[in-house]
Amino acid sequence: MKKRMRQNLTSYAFLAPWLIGFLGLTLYPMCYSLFLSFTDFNLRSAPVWVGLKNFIVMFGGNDTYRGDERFLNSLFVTFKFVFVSVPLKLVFALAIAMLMNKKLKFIPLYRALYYIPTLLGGSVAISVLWRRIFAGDGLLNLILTNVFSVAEPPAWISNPQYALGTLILLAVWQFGSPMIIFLAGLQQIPQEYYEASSVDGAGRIRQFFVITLPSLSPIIFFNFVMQMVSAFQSFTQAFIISGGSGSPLDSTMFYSLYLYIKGFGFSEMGYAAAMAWVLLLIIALLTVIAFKFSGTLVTYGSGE
Amino acid sequence: MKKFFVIMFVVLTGSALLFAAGVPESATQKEDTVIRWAYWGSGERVTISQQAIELYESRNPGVKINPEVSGGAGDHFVKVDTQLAGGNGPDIIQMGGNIYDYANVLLPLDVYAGKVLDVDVIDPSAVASGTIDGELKGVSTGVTMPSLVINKTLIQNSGAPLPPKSMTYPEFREYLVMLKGKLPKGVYPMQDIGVTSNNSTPFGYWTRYNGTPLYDAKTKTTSVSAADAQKYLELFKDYRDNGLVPPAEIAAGYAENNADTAAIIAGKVAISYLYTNQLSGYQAATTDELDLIEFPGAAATKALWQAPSQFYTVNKDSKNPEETVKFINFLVNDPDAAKILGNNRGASASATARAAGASSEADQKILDYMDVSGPHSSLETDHVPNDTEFNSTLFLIYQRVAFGRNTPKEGGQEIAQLLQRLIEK
Repeated sequence: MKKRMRQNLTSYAFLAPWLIGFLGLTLYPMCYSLFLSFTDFNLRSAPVWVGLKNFIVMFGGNDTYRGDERFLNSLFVTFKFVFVSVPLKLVFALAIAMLMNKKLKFIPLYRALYYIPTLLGGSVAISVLWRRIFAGDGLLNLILTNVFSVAEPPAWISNPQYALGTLILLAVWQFGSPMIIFLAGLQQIPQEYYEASSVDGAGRIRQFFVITLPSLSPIIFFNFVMQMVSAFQSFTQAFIISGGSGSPLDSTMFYSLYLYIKGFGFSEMGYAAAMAWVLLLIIALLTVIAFKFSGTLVTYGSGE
Repeated sequence: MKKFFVIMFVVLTGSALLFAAGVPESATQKEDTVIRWAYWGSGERVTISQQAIELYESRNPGVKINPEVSGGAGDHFVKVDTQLAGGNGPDIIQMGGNIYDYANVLLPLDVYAGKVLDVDVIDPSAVASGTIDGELKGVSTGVTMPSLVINKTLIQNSGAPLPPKSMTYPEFREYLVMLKGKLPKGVYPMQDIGVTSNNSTPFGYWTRYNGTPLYDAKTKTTSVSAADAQKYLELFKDYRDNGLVPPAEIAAGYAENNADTAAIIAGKVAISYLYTNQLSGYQAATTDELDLIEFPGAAATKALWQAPSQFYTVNKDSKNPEETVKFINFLVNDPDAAKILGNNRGASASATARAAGASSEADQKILDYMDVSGPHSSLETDHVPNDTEFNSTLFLIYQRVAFGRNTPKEGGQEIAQLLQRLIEK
């Protein structure tokens, strides 16, 4: 008994750096932000308890509090971004991964090249580059007017109809990490399946739908959940491209950008904390739903 | 096993102590007094601030000034708010018109006045602007005025005459129409000021011109009605419909946060809006020559105003308040510092600093502008409570109209409601 206790203590001693970090830097701030979400807090004076006010304001308001339409809009913009960019990105990643899976020359080089956007994509520099490409007098429009003689192409990043589209494009372009995971998955599929099916007369397309997709389904599911979670938290691109304002017409006002503006711009930290918790719940809920569906759509191999 | 545990314990507590103690403390013999100076700005301001710091440090051995620079006011206050909330605020905090929101975290400077801080040479109006509830909370860095900036080179090259410094609104519109005829395709006479994120000041000017100031802190009311705000939106709708300002999607492509994101620096427009103290920074970003003219209608209405550009304030938790105030006194009153700093943070309100003279061509232009516009000014209107939110939401409302989603009438109602809501908040 004594010996076991000593062993436990030793393990805790080894775990201490992580435990202290977890308690002090993760758990405590989380609990504190939960507390703040029920308060009015402007960072300069002590938080004031307001109960559910922040949440009521978010979801339409009532007789006492006016609802926050910009919040609902940011939610809408974020959903649009997530549910367009994530499927597109996965399709794109899978297509490239299948090309990479061919026995071609220089495959490692291509793999590295196609992964680069993922490393760079979240950075400020790329967002600035994106601005330059899609601005009214940007690179894309120079090409459109001079090569394709389009008379007056729109200013993509400052036109409310297209601004979100450029951000979706930027997200899809960062297809590298799901691509690498897909590639690993593709290489796990036993070649015998393909050989056997081609003996039975299955074509390429048939093989894709009955062998590749079902075998990959756990990986598609994994990629979907991971990408969805990170897409909900997108911030940098919208912040840089819109100059921190969610402009034009709040069409690039991502949830996390609005949270930031509310907290640090308008000094409503309590409201921002409440928004963070709502985002957590939304992501958790969607993940649970995804797992529920996975039962019918995802097939796990019987294991060799 | 026991031995191992003892060793582990010694190693862990030992390293913890080491971290707690901080290694380098014993390394230096006598500690420098370190003053942390947080301000926002880029380009020229950073360079000249550093030069002023070096001059001060060379005169005051044992004092070290650490600048903490943010690119824009937005980032600056994000950083400062977080530092203050964490009890780790800088000693000197550059403040803008929002100084009132921060009054309770700032050190009253009255005890230093007449000792290390020479307030007698500073204009009384500038001292008054930094005084809150009878206590001196901030030292004005100088005064600044809203103005229109023109690209002189662009206008001259187009063959159009330069605009006079003062115009009425009808004259101004006529000038824009004439200019439009001369400018090359794709270049517009004026930036659509309101569609950029920097809009509450020009709107504030127009409400004063209109005789309906934005806010009165004493009565906690606004004089702006929905119909007034509608008139403002219609004024620019007229400019937009006639190509005197760019279409909304072009104008919105320029965030106008600083010279790098300004349409006038990009050569897209000939006239835009600027605070006078920004002129030399903007001039440094282009080879074209810039100059200043007034907002239309100022001569008759005295609707312009001189605003304290910024304030140097001291964190009430500063460890070296006296040394900090001494350095502020140097920045504001010392003639050598004035020569280095020029008009970058506003035209100095200190007599000793002004005696040093204008240090650059841009500064001379600001003085020329103030000669004309000073008499066309009256006392500044009180700031609307929750200034940042006002600016951000006004921007959204204006954009809805500019992009044709709402009519000026709807926009005017939204602006009136917004003002009401912010005042009641």
